Amino acid sequence: MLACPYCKTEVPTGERFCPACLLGLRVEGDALAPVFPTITPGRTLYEADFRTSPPPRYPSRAHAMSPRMRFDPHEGGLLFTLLEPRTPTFPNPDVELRDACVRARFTVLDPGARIGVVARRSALAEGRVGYALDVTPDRNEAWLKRVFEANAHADSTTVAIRKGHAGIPAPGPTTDVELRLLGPTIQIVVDGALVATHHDPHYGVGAFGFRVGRETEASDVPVRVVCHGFDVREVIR
Amino acid sequence: MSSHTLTCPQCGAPVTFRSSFCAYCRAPLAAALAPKLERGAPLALNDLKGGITLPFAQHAVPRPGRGLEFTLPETGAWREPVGPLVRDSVARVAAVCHDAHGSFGVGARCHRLGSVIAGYRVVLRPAYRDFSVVRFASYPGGVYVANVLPPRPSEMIAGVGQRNTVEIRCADSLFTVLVNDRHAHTFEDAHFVFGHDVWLVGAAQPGARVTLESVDVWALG
Repeated sequence: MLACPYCKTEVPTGERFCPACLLGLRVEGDALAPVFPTITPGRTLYEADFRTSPPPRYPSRAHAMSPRMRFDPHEGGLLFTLLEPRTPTFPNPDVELRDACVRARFTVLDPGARIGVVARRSALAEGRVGYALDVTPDRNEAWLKRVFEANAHADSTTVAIRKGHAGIPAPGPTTDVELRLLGPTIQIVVDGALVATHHDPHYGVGAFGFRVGRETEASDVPVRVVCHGFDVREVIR
Repeated sequence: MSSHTLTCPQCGAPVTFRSSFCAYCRAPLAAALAPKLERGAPLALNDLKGGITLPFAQHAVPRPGRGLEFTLPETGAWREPVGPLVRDSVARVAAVCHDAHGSFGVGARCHRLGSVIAGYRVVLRPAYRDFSVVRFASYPGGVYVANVLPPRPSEMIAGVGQRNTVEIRCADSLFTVLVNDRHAHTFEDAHFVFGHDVWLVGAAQPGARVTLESVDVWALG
């Protein structure tokens, strides 16, 4: 019997999958190592081009989420101006999927920005739970989290952190941030390059979208980010 | 059909209910009938009539021969995990509510998001002879819920002062609820797929008394 590297369940010898969390397994030395399926994006299922359209469920391309946080039309998409350290999320709640790839394109104009995508996000009255990937170009970091968000309370559990990864570009250039999900397997992809693959079996279905926020403390010096758009692609069968 | 059919017939990899292909070998999968969910090997059996208590059980006194008796000091719900982290499992709670304000139930796939706990729960209210199923996320100070099944009256439920059992069986996105060992409801919901099973007791008014007789978890058969 060896322990599953994810949930620590004792796995009988010869089993190829953990009976508790269903992680694919292979023996490596005297321990079990994960085996992940490949995830290949296919056709585009949903696409939002912010040069011409607002985020899902928003009536226009100019909107103030709060007195210190807003987006406005920009020649490349939507210009987010952030004065407070929050990370609003913009899912498309009309489409709930299980296995899919969500990708958003950003240009970070100032230091202190956080850009990302959300997946399998589901509603519980005013609350929302799901996966969130946040990339902070200043620190070359990617954070994959399970998040809960509501007006009264927000919290999260970190699934994985990738720090100082060479594949995460510095602020300035246009950056594609992507999550690919197939069953409990989650891939972090930045600018088309695979940064990490993780196993997290907690969420199965939900909405997909993007998020943009500010890392640094509130001040009158804005953090600006252009979001060009996002798309959701199927997983090739 | 057993829940073991939730595996790829070609390579044996686990597949999701109604999925159209295997993630590992790419074999196409035919639409399957809903498998019958049954109990498998025991993971955690707690007969509380023997005078034992449960970890983290607050406001409870062991009553040998009767169970673990809760006297709940305020309105709300108390719950704790039992058994290991699992995706597919069977969890069953047997209890007696001694007044109209008590309730009890069983939860599945409960997991933490920082200070928040989210999952499914089935709550049985003997005074109203009804049960309900929700997805919930509770945080210190409140709870958010999405109804899976609003409170449904059922003649299967015994009244105040009598023993009832509630059981939830889950395999991927397929759930079956049993009340007093009889089928009460089946539903599909793929939002939460992994976590702990939990027992829970609740009070609609302060002072409600609930006696848990047993809290059991099995693997899926």
